[in-house]
Amino acid sequence: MKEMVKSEGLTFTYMEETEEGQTGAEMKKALDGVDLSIRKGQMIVILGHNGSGKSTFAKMLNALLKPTSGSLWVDGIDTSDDEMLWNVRQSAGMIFQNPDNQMIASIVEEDVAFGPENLGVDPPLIRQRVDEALEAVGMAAYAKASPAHLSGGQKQRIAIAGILAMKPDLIVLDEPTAMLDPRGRAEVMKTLQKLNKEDNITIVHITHYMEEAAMADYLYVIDQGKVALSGTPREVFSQVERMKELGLDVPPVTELAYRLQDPVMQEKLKARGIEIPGDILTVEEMVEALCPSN
Amino acid sequence: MPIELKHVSYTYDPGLPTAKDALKDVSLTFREKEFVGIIGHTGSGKSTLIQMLNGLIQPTEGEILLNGESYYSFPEGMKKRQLKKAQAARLKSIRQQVGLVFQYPEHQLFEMTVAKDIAFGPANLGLPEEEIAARVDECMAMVGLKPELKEKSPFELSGGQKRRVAIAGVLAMKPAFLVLDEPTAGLDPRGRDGILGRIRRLQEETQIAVILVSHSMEDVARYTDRIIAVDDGRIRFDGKPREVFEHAQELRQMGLGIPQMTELGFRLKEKGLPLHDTILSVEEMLQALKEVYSC
Amino acid sequence: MLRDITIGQYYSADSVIHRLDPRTKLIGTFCFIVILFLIKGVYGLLIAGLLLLLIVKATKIPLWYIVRGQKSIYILLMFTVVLNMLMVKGDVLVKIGFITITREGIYTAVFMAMRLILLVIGCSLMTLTTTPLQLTDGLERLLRPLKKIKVPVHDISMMMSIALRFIPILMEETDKIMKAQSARGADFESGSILQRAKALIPVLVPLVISAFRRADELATAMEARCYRGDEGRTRMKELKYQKRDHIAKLVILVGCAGLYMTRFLPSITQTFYAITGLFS
Repeated sequence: MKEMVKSEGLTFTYMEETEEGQTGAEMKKALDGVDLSIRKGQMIVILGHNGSGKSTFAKMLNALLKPTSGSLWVDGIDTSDDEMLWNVRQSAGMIFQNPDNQMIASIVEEDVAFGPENLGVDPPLIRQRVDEALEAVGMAAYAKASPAHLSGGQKQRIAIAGILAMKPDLIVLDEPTAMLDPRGRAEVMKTLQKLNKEDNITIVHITHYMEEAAMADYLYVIDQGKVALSGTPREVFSQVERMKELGLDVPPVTELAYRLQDPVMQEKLKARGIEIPGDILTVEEMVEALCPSN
Repeated sequence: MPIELKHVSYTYDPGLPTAKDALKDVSLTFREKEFVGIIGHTGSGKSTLIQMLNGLIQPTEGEILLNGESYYSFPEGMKKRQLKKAQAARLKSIRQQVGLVFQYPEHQLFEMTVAKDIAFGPANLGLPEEEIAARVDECMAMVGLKPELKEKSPFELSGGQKRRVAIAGVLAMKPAFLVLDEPTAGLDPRGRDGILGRIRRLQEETQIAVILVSHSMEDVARYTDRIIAVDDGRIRFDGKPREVFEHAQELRQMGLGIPQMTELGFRLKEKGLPLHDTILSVEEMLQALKEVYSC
Repeated sequence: MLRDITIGQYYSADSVIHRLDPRTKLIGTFCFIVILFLIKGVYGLLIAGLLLLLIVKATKIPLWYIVRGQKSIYILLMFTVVLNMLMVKGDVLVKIGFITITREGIYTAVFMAMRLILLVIGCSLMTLTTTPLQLTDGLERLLRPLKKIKVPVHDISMMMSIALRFIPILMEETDKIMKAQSARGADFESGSILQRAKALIPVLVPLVISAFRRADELATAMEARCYRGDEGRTRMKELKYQKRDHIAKLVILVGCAGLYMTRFLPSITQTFYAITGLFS
């Protein structure tokens, strides 16, 4: 399978800006030697507490920030290559936290058209792409609506459509659900899963919600600019102690499974023929472990 | 000193085609020293409700009372000028006694230093300088801000610290009720537990009543003693978390949910496991499982 | 209350006026403004008002919506009316103390008020039926000749459209911040003018900070979506005059000519004097 994102020794340091607009002293190493690779078609979640460097990483994927040292390739393109800047931005679309602050137009379809317009796409083709993108996020009925009358979840779906209309291979989302209510969060997650499964779009999703992280194919936990943990959600969440050290949560059932690993408890359960694995992720799995169906 | 709502209704844009009923005939009492959680999806009427408690929105119908005294009605026969004065005075006293922390409260910070920003509320109450200074120190400690941050600009602080400054600014009015609208929105798990833990401790130590609006069922289950579920402008459930979360089906229909452990409890019961009580947390589940399997 | 302001806001509906080319609407509005200032009598304005009412009908926007959105402007309007009524000299009708109301005063006040109302409704009809992006596209195309003398026409129009897009968001934000500061005991409603101005600082500072934060985020989001100015940019809705635009232009021409002709109607002031004369 093809590699969508690859980084080697990726480092980014925020520089103090001096009055002459030149870079001065180093302020903070936001990313410190990150090596990772993301295959095409994967759904990746990046976890980490605020200030861990995960947003910096997201901005680098879209070439909004360039590596201080090390390299980052998106779809084989080196993001520090100035000449390929617009190609990188076209293939790695980006969604931000606040849905209001990323909408340019006052009409849904005009906003979705903004990206392809910037790319210089032919007008009839833009029309077609806009219609397809709105269809894909289930917002076709709102093409002529004003974003002011939409819910947070709907606005984020419009933002996703705006990226889809640019025909990206990768969508990077920086805490897209942080400002939404549970209903809005569910809408956005459903949309992302559909795009990933049906349209084979690679997703890099940054979030604080563990139930969203559990849906990923692969997780990276970033702490102090470094990859602290990585693996499938099952592998990562089963390290309950380590996750808590990093200031992160695990789903309550995973915590329960972990606490049930206590030897005394295990023995009593074993006597009844019950075995609880330490890497349970969902309520269903726990029910099945405690009350096996046959 | 309870807050009582008696048959309160509120309509936005009454008489216009855009008219919308935000609250419909709500009767409710918030008692002293309680830790109440309010749940409901966006647009259910819960923001209207909490703004009413603080006197920011006047009910279109019904009455709201603090300590038996109505927010808006005054003895008849008062002169216009007298009435205006009395209204202003009552509103001021309500806002002192019912502190309201809005969503993303750090967006309302404006002063040059943390101390000055926290002092804004008490200064509006017209308190003497020394009292204000004492309250600033006290409230910074309450929310877990180090004293050396006092002279810093609030805009230099981290997101979590800014939010604590904003909460301290409301606490500095020494309210009997503290109303918080999603105080943990946008924070990471550590920041979230930090703030909610502080508030719980504050409530236990100072006996302040807390009214917490939250989208997280885990949080309301963990921290509150009573839950009010609002849907379509009406109170659908009002009771202990254990009682409210029994109505999983109805809560789901309202676009809400139940804590994961409660859900697990129900599913295990269906499978015939003898769990008696509604379970709210991992701790309780562990305890229950121990009971089931050691006997 | 602040949410009610609809100046510069788009009202989504499906009407002929909505579908007109923004350039046609810009030209039409411009002509309307010019003609309003050329009309001399109340009759002329009445006819202009009737024509405007027909256009409102055609836009399918409810009249109450337009009127409600302009509440704040009417306060300004009242101010000019009162000022005119008191300041214009002429035949005295009423005299109470130092206040004198003259026939000419009433006439000028009524005339000014009508003119202003028509002006405001006319302009808001344009923004209500044209999305900000269309509006700026139209403006950009009309002003294109200025590009030759290095006027950054595209940037100006882009800024304008973003400003229009953010008006409602910032209004709502102002409302929220005012409420939050009221909850901390801030008082915006009493005290001297100076005190009231001072009371606005806790509102303005967070508002400005928030506007900058939004601007910063929006700029990043635009860059992430490959925005790089006018260069190589295409449009989904390319501006192209349709048959209806040519008809509309003809209507504008005829309408303006007709309104101009009202200058030659028999003197309206005479009728007015005749009516007020009955009371004096």
